[in-house]
Amino acid sequence: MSRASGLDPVHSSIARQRFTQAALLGLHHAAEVHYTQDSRRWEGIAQKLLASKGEFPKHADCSGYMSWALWFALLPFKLGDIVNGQHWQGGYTGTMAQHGIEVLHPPNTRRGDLVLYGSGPTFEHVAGVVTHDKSGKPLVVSHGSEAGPFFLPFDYRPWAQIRRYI
Amino acid sequence: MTDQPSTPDPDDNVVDPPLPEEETPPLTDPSTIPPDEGDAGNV
Repeated sequence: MSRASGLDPVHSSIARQRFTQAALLGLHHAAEVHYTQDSRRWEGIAQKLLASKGEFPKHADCSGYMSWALWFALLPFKLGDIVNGQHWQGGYTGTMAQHGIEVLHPPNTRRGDLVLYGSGPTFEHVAGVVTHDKSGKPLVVSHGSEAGPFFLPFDYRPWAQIRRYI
Repeated sequence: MTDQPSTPDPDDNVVDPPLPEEETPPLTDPSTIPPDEGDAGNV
């Protein structure tokens, strides 16, 4: 099956590394990353903050943070907004659910896959896979409250769907 | 040998390398975190 992004294996590996770099950067600066649902939730993309330069959004909600990490991951490849389909101008869990391809089995997740929580079709929370534990369980970065981002097992709460964009 | 999923996923059986230990943060205990506040929807 082809990749969601159409990138070749080398470039998709680079994109996954970039996603992980971005997601972990905010995690390592959790005290500086505030949770908001106002327009500042999109500042990571709006201000073109580059994780490669140590830049990360100081405000985000769950989908704003994950959209920024995927925007940064895909930036070199000029694919357009394949995550939310809104030209990187906005998005939320509902638009994320309308893009990418579904991954049915958690052990098959890869870095950069998003886990959606809550009820479809719009869902209510999203977190991003950055690695797996020794048993193969996906581990995610989740920014769902002011105290986040957190590093958690993907099933820290009931999950609904996993989607891949890279 | 482990059972294989009946439905193949994209990149089935492709495994990302583990994070370097020095880059791997400690896991948060899920019982200690506040409830997720939801998602803003479209801006």
